[in-house]
Amino acid sequence: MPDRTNAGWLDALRPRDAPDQQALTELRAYLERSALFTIRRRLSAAHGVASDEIDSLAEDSAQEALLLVLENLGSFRGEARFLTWAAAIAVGVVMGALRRRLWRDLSLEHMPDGWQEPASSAARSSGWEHPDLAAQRTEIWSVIKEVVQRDLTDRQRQVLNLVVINGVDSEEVAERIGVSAGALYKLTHDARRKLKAGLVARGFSTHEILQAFSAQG
Amino acid sequence: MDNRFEPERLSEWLRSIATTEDNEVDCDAIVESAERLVAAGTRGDDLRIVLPDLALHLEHCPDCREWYETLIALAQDESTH
Repeated sequence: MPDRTNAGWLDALRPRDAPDQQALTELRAYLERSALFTIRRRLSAAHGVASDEIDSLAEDSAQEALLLVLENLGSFRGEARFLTWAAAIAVGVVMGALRRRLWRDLSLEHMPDGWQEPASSAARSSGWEHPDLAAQRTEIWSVIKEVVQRDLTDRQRQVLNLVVINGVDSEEVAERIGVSAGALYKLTHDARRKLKAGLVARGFSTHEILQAFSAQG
Repeated sequence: MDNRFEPERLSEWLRSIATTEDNEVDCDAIVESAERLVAAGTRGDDLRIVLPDLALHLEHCPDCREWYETLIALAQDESTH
């Protein structure tokens, strides 16, 4: 791994018209290793991707990350190692690329509306066959559906259907509906607050909610 | 493939509802504090103590959590090679 101090990296890369070529080469190689690590760690998202396509994806992501690093040198605060900061950018770029590949055939308009399913659909999913908990799960999901229909906005219902019921990545949903990831988080956080309030108002404790939907149940 | 009502995903979301706080920071806070967050994580600090707002967000945001966990795993991989 390249052995430079944070100041050394900045001094080598800051001259926009003549950055140090050795530093650029070292940084690009590091970003590509980080990209490959990220791709291999997310094998499920990269499932079906040929090995040469993986290498190509890593190269392209590393190049994109390198440009972002150089463009944003001024925002590096020195609170972490420079390469750690650079890797954070690379990992984000790779995750975005994998996400777009995974969901490239997604049609939001044709996504089934899980809120129209009976409450038992959620309680009877594969693996949730413990009879003592099935009735409680159905009741909790019924309350959730009630709060969703009564208290959430149309956008919140749509987002939760996509992310929670149908498993679409939040960032993909954000991009498709034209909001930032932060805005989507605020939207879903508000929905969670309403749902928690609705469940508590119906007498469910935090403990009961956690116990009823434990993945081991 | 019908991926609806996947049990682990629903469990995680219900847990997220149960542990929802009135005030939570959003993904922008993670981006803004990325250096501090990753520095703390690679040191092995308990985020719930040193950066509680960010730790809570990571509990509730799968995308940010995956990004963070990948960086920590990358740092650990580098330290062993």
